[in-house]
Amino acid sequence: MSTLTEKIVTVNDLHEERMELSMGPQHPATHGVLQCKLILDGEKVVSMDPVVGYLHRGKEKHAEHMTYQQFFTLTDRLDYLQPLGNEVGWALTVEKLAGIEVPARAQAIRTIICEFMRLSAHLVWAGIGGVDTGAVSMFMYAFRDRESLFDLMDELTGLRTNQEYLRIGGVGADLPPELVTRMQQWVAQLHGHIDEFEMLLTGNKIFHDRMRGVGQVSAQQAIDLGLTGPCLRATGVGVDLRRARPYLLYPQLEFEVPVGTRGDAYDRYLVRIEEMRQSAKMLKQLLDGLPAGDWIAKDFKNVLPPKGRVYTSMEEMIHQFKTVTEWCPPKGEVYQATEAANGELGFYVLSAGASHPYRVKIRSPSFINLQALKPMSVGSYFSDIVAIIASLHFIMGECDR
Amino acid sequence: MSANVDSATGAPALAPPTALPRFAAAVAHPKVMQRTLTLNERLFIGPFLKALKFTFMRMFQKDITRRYPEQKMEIKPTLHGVPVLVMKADGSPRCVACGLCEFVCPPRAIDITPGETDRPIEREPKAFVIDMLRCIECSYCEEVCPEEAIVMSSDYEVVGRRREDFVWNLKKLLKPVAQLQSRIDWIRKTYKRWDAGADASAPPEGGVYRDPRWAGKSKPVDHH
Amino acid sequence: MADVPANPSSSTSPAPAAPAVAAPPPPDPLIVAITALGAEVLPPTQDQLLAFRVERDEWPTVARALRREPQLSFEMLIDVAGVDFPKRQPRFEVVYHLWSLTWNKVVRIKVGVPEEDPQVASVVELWPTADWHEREAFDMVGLKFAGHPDLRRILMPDDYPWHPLRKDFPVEGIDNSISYVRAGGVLMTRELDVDRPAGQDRTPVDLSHGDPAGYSDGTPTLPEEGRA
Repeated sequence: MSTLTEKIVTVNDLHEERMELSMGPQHPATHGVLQCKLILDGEKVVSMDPVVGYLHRGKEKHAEHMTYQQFFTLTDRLDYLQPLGNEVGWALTVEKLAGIEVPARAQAIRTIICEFMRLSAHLVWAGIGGVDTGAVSMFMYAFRDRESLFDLMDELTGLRTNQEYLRIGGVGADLPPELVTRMQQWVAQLHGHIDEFEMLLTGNKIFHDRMRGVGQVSAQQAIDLGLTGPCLRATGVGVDLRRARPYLLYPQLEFEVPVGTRGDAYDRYLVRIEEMRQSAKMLKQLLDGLPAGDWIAKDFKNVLPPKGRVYTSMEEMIHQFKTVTEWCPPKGEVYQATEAANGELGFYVLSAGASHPYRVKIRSPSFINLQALKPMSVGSYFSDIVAIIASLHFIMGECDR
Repeated sequence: MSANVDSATGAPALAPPTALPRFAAAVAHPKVMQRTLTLNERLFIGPFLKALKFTFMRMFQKDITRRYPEQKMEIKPTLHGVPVLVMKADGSPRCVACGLCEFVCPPRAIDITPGETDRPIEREPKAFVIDMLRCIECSYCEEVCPEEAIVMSSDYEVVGRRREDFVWNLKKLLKPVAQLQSRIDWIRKTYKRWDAGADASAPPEGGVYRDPRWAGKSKPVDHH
Repeated sequence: MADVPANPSSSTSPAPAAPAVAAPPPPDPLIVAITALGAEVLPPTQDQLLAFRVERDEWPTVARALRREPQLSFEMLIDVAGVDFPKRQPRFEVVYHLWSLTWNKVVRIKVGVPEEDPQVASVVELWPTADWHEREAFDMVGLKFAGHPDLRRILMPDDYPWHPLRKDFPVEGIDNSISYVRAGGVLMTRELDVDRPAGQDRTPVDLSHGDPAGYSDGTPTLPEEGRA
């Protein structure tokens, strides 16, 4: 009889056979080329191994062989939903390294484009997040606003995306007054559009059920995992680099840092929606009080001289050539972080005094936030992974660099 | 992740955050509160009809999309099309083959073979090739050009059947000034920067700056 | 060769003409606390962060104190960067950026790692976020983190034999089209993950990191002198 009691067959044993499943890298819900190696027990996730690197382009290595100005074109392609936000981060890093003063108007324009880019990233997030959780029409409404936003950026910079608009010491062109009016109009109608998004998503039972309680992390877990940005604030930690380590004109702006209460996917959604409203509030202040002045530093050693002088003066012609080919910041090192749409985007640059950086380390928020995917998913159901990925909103271009 | 369960929704509830770090907890931040769904929302049919009505009403509003191939984008002078070379009245390029655009080009799309010439500009490109598959239309070449010789055109539709179709040579790149005038006017305005008073916003004809004191005395140097 | 000096600011910014100040400002309590752990204060650079150099052997205790001591409490590890200085002794440097949410201070900690034994203690236990940071530093620069639970490549393919962010790796790359790995002198075929039994971890492949002989395999061209 003892042999019978040795092994009691339970229902669990019958279902013990585990399934190994590879999700991605060509999966539409993985937001790019992310592969998740899953081991499933029925619908439950037993283990997960996110595999990144499919979009690795070696930006940090390339940076060591590019001039500081040329590297702007690669920062654009980090988080391609907010290209100008990345450029601002790199510009602030290089300017801190070289000690360049940026005029007030250029700073205001940079702050404006930073907030526009946050809106751009959050709009795409709202659209894609809606698609991932079944609200397909949301995609159309989010992209309507995002396209009109990119029309504004097109008019300002000449390119819809990957704009290459920032220059060391300022920006590439002035913000014309008629465009300011159009931006104000765009911002004014945004509040109504965010209400529409909320009407479509916040009270939507399907969206609510798929997001609520999914991928919960506590504040302490979030800090341990190094989460930053909306994912950290959703857990109740009100840390925002625009307040904590302020840069540009953020100290002068009136805005609030929304925080969540439960730290689940639904909270990350609510925080982002509220951040969009705060961005619109900031943009209104910035566009109404845009300071007059230069849009690029009057600094002959660091910035290209006015073209008219280049044609007629040998001094300026030499400056033009020297600035392009031999511009070297002093030796030293700088870590500068900005609050990107997904969290803390930091550039650690080590300069040997040459025209190329000695070492550039990009602290990409997507890469670090993606680490949280594993602890969030293990123990949840397979379909929750899609909601967790949607709520974390990492961009693989930034993650893999 | 936590074991206890929210009674209202059946979702796992979160224990309140442990003692927050001092700086993070110093300021009271507005909280985005989750709410339980109303009965109407849980029944789903009400919000569903509301969203359906919202989508239906969109049919009677103005179109926000463009029927692209027939309906083209409005070209503005700020637009970055592909870079092209400015042709002078005599059909020669303005370019003096200084190589600055070749240096600055981040994707290394430009390839210049310089050569000497007897004309006053002394140097000209023997070959000037831009690989439009590499070009990212960043306009750095236009910005650094000391001769206003390479500008961004309004041509944003580059198509071809073979890879070679995208490698543009001098013949294909040269465009008469008239085609590029709106862009040239715009960059002249922009590249004045803080120097609004400077009137010399167009490069002097001939490509060489001559000091007025030397008027009549100087002669192009013959290097041959 | 434009190599980075050990103390950049002293060579770049001239020392300000110090006026005859009667009493120097009281030292930052954070600096006092961290130097008491045995860290050496580095001169401030352009970003004015507190910077320290820590000996490799002392790093585990210093890290534990930085995380756990209430007067320090650096809750968040922001970044781990591996840097290669081929002309310096020790050759590698791990640069940690830590952020205290209690004091809202960021510090930079540098730990030198010699080429012969590129090992440094892992801090995954203290800051779980260090997991991927350290895997990246291992992948890109070839630093080994002792005590890391799962140290394998993260951005490059698993069987990639080089560490691309080392200075002797050419920017144009090394042809790696064959799918064989030379590990310990034996050619191995690329391990396919589908053949792996469920639940079993990937077989670790020793790529003899830090072994200069590993570089001779693909005949990489060394970048010329003076390239920064």
